[in-house]
Amino acid sequence: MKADMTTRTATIALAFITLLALFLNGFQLARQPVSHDDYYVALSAINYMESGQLGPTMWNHPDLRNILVYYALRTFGTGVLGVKGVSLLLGTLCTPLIGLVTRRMFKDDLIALIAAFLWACDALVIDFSRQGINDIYLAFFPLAAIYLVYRYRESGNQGWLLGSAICFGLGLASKWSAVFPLLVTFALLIAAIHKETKDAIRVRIAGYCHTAVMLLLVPALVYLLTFIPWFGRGYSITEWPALQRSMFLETSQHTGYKPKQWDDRDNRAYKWFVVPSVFVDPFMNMDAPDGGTRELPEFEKSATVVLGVANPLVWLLTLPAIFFLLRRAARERDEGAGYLAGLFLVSYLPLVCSPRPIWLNTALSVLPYAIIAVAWFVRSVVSRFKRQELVLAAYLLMVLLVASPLYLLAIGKGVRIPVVKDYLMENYLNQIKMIMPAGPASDVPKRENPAPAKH
Amino acid sequence: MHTLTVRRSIITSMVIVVLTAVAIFGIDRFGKNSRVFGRAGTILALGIDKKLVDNPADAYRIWKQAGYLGRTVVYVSDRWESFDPGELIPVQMFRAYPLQLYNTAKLFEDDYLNGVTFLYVASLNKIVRKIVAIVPESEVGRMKEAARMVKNSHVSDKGVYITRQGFPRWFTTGARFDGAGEPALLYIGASYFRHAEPEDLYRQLSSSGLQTDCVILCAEKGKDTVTPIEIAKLNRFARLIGISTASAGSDDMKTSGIQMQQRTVPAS
Repeated sequence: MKADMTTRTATIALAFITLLALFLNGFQLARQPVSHDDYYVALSAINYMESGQLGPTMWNHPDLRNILVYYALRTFGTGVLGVKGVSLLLGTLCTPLIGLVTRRMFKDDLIALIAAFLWACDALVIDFSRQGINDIYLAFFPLAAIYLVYRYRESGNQGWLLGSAICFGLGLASKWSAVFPLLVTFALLIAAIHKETKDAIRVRIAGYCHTAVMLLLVPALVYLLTFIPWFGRGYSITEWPALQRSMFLETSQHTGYKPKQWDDRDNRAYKWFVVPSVFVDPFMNMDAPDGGTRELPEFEKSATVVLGVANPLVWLLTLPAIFFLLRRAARERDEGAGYLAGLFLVSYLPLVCSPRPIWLNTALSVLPYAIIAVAWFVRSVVSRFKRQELVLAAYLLMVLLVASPLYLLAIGKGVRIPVVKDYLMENYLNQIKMIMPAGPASDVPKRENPAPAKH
Repeated sequence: MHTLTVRRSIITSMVIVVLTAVAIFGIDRFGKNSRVFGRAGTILALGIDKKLVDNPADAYRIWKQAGYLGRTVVYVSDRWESFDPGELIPVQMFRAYPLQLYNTAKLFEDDYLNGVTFLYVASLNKIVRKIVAIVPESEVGRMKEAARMVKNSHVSDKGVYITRQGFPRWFTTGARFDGAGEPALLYIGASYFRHAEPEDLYRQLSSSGLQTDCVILCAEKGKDTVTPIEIAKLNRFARLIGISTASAGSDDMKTSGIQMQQRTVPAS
């Protein structure tokens, strides 16, 4: 296979894949019915920024989403860009980022392009790039931070490292699971300093301190700063740890904000890369997708099922890819392979070991590393064939074929597929139908409470 | 990797450490300076604001009108009324772009302020940042049971600590109350005197060293546990803290015409 692709060609190809991602993430986004989560994300943003109040939804997670969505609402209004614009932007930017990070890890443009392509057409990625909630942030900010660390290592310019630290801080301010790639990256830099300062003890200690301050203190500070609206309620710094404790206890024991009406099986992280998994998000919205009067629409028109289905041709290759990656890291002392395997394992294993349910949306904090590993693995396997281009093209075509129906499911159009419609009705919609209002629109029932705790 | 010089590494590290310390100090000051207090003293002090009101919602209006912010409320009543805020607001089933959004704090203040919600509304509107509830022993026992179901709770000899979505609340008895640690907004509902004598509460609050800038005595009209006996006891308590019998219950002791000199004081 032609491996000596020019940087310019690779960059243009990456730009095209990014455009594809933008198209897939943005296609008919304004016509996708607004879910409960989308609506409460917007309300929570207003609550937080104007009253310093956590909730009504996902009060236990850090508050960067509230800040970003609030300013998006202020800038773009309460339309689709205001509510989902941040996720759309960050989800789309993950595509070039994953390409750039992969290029630096393996110094191979083809692996970078494969990774970007697999990411761009992944149904879970598309699902969460089209939602107001912030799981896609967990892919974007650590990827951006990792990219900036590579730039720092290439140039020695501290500005890149500072930028990386800020991105890690923003990741932490999205969800705490950003701490895992942060720790791996910190370990990488410490190891690099250790290796490169053999006899210069003073330089080594100064390097350790510098890295610790940059990658531990700065992210913590960024995280703290995102709580300024909460401090505006009169809280002092000594009261802040109690809030963090409350958030931690809820997060570590979280079993869902409300009981699910459908069979909720795919909530164990160990399954993600072993069997085909799915993130299920069914909801009702009384607005017909194409507008119309405010009379109750038919059930099929008011119910939407968004399914983020893992593409088995990609996800099920992850564990073999990680195995061979680890072997390569050990045998060839390949830093990129070791770093990537570390990112994956350190991010993934705590989720596997967690006693609480972990739904597939959380996989977005692991998926970038899984997809890069799969891209490398596919490239390695394909290189053993004589007709490499053909084998690779066939694989990517199969991925695309599987991804096509999954795309319809990810954008909530599954009921348009005849066979799938019956499946959705049987597995998800019939349960929801039980609470479907029968009277006029004003009689709509109260929904399950997004913040069920009593005051 | 390009290794930085020792000098550059140390300078950068020092700058970031100093900036972090400044930021932490600044955030702490910002939080404390967001609190708004009135003139504070013991419950006997003459300079503090003391009001007798009919309904708990009036307490909220007094606090709001006076401009108090970021405060601890010492809430004295016979029971802690629980409610589910999410059940009060009808769910928006029509959700078309542009979304019809609202500020929850304003919505609750305008449409859902009542004797049960007033503390919640005060917390939404930044008036209250923590609550210390003085309730009868039996109610503390009930909260101990409730604490078992709450992820972040703590039971000790002093009482029960239960958070709701990170919002701190303590439940204790008058005998165990040892002050709020800072000048507090004191709310006393007549229902508390179903289980206690005014003199006992007066003695307990005085000995706790409680500092306050606003005392609200609430007749809690309409509450099923309040009878003329409790109202009489509330008036006795009013006299104990210096509200004359004649003025207790008169219009000028109620919610109208609140004029307070506001000042922001550094909190402990």
